[in-house]
Amino acid sequence: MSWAGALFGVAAVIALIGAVGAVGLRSAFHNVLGFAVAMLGVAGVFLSVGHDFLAIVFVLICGGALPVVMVHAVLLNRPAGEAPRPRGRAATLGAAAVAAAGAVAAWLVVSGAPWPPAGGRREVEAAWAGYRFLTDYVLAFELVSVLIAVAMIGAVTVARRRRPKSEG
Amino acid sequence: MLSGLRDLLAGPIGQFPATLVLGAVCILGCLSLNTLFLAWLERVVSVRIQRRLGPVEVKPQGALQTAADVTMLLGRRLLTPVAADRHVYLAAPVLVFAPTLCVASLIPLSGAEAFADVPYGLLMVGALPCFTALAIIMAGWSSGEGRAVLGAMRSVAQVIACGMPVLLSVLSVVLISQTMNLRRIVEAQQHTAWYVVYQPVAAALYVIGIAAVASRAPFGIPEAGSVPIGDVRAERAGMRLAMFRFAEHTNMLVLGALGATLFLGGWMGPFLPGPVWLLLKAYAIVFLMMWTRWTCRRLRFGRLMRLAWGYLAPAALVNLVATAAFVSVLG
Repeated sequence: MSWAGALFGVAAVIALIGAVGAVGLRSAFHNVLGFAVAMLGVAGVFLSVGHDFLAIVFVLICGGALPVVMVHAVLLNRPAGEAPRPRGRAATLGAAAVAAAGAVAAWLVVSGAPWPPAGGRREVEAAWAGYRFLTDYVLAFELVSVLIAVAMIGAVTVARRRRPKSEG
Repeated sequence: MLSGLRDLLAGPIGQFPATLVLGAVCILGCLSLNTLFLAWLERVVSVRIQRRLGPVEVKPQGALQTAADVTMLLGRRLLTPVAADRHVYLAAPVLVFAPTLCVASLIPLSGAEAFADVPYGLLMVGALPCFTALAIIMAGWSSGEGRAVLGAMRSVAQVIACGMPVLLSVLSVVLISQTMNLRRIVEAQQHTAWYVVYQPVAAALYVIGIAAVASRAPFGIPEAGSVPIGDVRAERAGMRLAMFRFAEHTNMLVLGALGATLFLGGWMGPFLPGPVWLLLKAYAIVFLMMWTRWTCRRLRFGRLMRLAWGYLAPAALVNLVATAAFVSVLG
């Protein structure tokens, strides 16, 4: 097995372990840590198949966003010493249904996409990626920033302490 | 020299593992020596600037005080707080150090020698410090101590606020050199003057920004002793505390070496070998940070935020736009 193949295997395993931790652990802080591990694993997969630029951009985006997400996780986490709340059956089933729907949608997109024929490694240049972001994918690019803003407002709202009315 | 060693190792174990092993051993060895040297230098600089006697108990003339400090740290008992998240608590010191180690491997030591010659090296250098912020939050939260969490929040706010002008000033260099490869940036300065001449504002912003990112006074707010906060190291002792100090000193050298690469011509210089020139320039920037630390008073947190978001970031943005206009006009 080549080094690239071994790196691909290790990175894929790391990504899967991180993904399982991101959804399976009971603490919001640990969920974010699992997510970070999964993202690093995905960057390793990009690196192993020769897309250095994509791997670095992935690390850059995750590196910028994860500290902010982690601060939110600290805000949203339960107080130290408090036992984790049991998960409701309805919430678990609802999450499973949404995940299944997402998986089906992803499969439909992947199976129906017109993939280019395998022609070897393609070098992705920074100028090309920047041009596509500001032309073809500008809407998706801006929607992501709106999503982040909504997530921040939501986290602040959830984490804000609700004062009793008597305190004014 | 490094290429020769790598070829020698590559015979029995292969090229890729040889590069990994050699890189890890060389970088870790050099950075460990650097930590000892910087601890000694910091003491000498502070004593001279503040006209103090300094430690004189460990003979001769207190010169071995650093070795005594290291021995003391190694000999201390390791304690873990009861409320700590044990696994994250133990992993955090290593993770604080790891991104700096990655950045160190990207910096070219000479025209032919670099541990990792990556086409988009500067992009990666910009990404990795964010993981330091991540590790700081992990360190603070895992202590299970409110003061450490507050200190971590302050550290992250400071790294993000002051990292912005650093990245923007670095982008000005990219615009001039038209590349993100660190080796090519140095090579581009061979044909012109050093970029500190063309980009004095960016260089000044970079030096101010890295002092804040490395939490050096006057920006050493997270570890301020005068406020009842402390930083993420509040609940640590012994080797776990030493790892944070190791990361701090390594961070200073790596950021200094990066500044030397971007603005001072990297390894270029007459007579001496390239790596020696790079180290001399990096230590010059580190000395500047130490000089400032022991001369200026510490800022309050609110004033630092105002400085970073109100003055440094806009100045870096204006400099970037002016550089872009200049480059586009001159082609």
